[in-house]
Amino acid sequence: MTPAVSLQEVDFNYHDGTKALSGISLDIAPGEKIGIVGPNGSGKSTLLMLLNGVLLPTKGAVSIDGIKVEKKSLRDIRRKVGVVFQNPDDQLFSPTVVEDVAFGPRNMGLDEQEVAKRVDFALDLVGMRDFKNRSGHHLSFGQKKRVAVATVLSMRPQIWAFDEPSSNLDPRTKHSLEEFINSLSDTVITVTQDMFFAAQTCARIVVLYQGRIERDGSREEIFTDDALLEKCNLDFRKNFSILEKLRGVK
Amino acid sequence: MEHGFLDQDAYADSPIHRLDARIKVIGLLAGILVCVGTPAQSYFAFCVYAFSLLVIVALSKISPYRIFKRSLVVLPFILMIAVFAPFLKTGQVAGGYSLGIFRSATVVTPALVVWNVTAKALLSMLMVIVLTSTTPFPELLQALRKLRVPDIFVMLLSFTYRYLFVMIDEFQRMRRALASRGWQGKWIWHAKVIGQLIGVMFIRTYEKAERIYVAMISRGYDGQFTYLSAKKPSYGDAIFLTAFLGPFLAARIWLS
Repeated sequence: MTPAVSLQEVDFNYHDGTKALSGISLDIAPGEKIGIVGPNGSGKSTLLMLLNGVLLPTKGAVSIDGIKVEKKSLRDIRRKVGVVFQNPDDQLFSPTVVEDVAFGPRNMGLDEQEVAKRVDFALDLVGMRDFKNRSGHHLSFGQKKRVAVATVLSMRPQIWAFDEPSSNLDPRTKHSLEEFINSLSDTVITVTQDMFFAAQTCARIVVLYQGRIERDGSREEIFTDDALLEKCNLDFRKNFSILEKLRGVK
Repeated sequence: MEHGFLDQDAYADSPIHRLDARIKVIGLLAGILVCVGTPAQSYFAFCVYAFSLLVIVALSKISPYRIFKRSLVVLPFILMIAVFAPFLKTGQVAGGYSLGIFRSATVVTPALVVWNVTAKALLSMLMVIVLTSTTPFPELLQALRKLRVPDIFVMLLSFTYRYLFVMIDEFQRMRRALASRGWQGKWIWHAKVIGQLIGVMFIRTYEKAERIYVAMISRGYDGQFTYLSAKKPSYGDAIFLTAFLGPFLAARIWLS
């Protein structure tokens, strides 16, 4: 079976010479939910930007559904890969919510009827239909996030890429986003530092450290390896041990 | 955070709010042109303009006080003219034009110059305020697009409208962060900090623009914009246009 996403020996250097990624090889099967975790500056976001060709690898190759990511395939790649960015203010630029959600499908060249259908479907699913004609800046952060998800949902991507999806969300909104991701049958790649979010949504976890893959394994394997978590600044135990203490859990 | 000065009244409901945005743009822009092109001495014509505008303001149910407050932005400009007016040589022609029956030449007396600028600036400003506070900005953009304003301008306006608030928020956050560390920004030696603030804002704006662009191309943007279609103008719109522009043109032709 063709992997949904495949990276072979990918290096990426920024123009100033910073080595962001080196020797990344990774195959992601269709329908897989995978979390990319790692400390600040480990190259997570760079990896995400390679998936839809916003960045092209310095060395090696990235393919999506068997198609190599390069200049001439970008149109197809961006139809297949939907990216939800960290800050919804970067993603929502139109005067109204509807126009923003319709932006992607229109760029795909769909007719107005189909666009309208998809917009309604997407806004219904994220529970933002009543906000259709509002402008982006009148919404709360959580609402903006929902709309940002809808702008990608309306494009019906095969592969979802989330950049720090849980950042700045309250626990309840975070939970409904987790449920949304778990309800998707598409391939989902989540870049995050939120170990709780990763544990909830990703069966497979890839740990990035200093631009390399430190470990690639099941969530059971990764989240029980204390030495690994400690080494990669990902030790989350302190974060919840205080709550356990307060609640009297042993 | 606190903003919404731009079109805070625009989502209310009144006969003026319900008009087609294109009609309002055409009507009020034409109104401004007629007003600006009226000779300064035609005091009665200006009264007619002011009266028509007052009727519209009344119909639009927007608080006249708020409209008045907003129109004060022209004051600094009027003040500038007022300061320099006494130095003008009396009897000199300050400027003029001739377009068939519409002709105007301003012969300078300092008082007349000040009156000319004050009346025209205030009335024009009022018309712009009536337009923006009875039309939601997205509709205004739609209207400009329909009126064949080049896409690039409409796009620029649309981005300005969308991100103005983000920038204001960002600036307010930075000011608060400064204030909470005891900074007041009162004295001339604080200018350095303001300079740095502007510098940081500039870089952030630039980087934000990059991120927005990346988010756009990620959704397949290739430089072409497509838009939803809008409603058609109705009889009510035509009646408004005649009722509003009629007195303007009549006053311009027969009263000056």
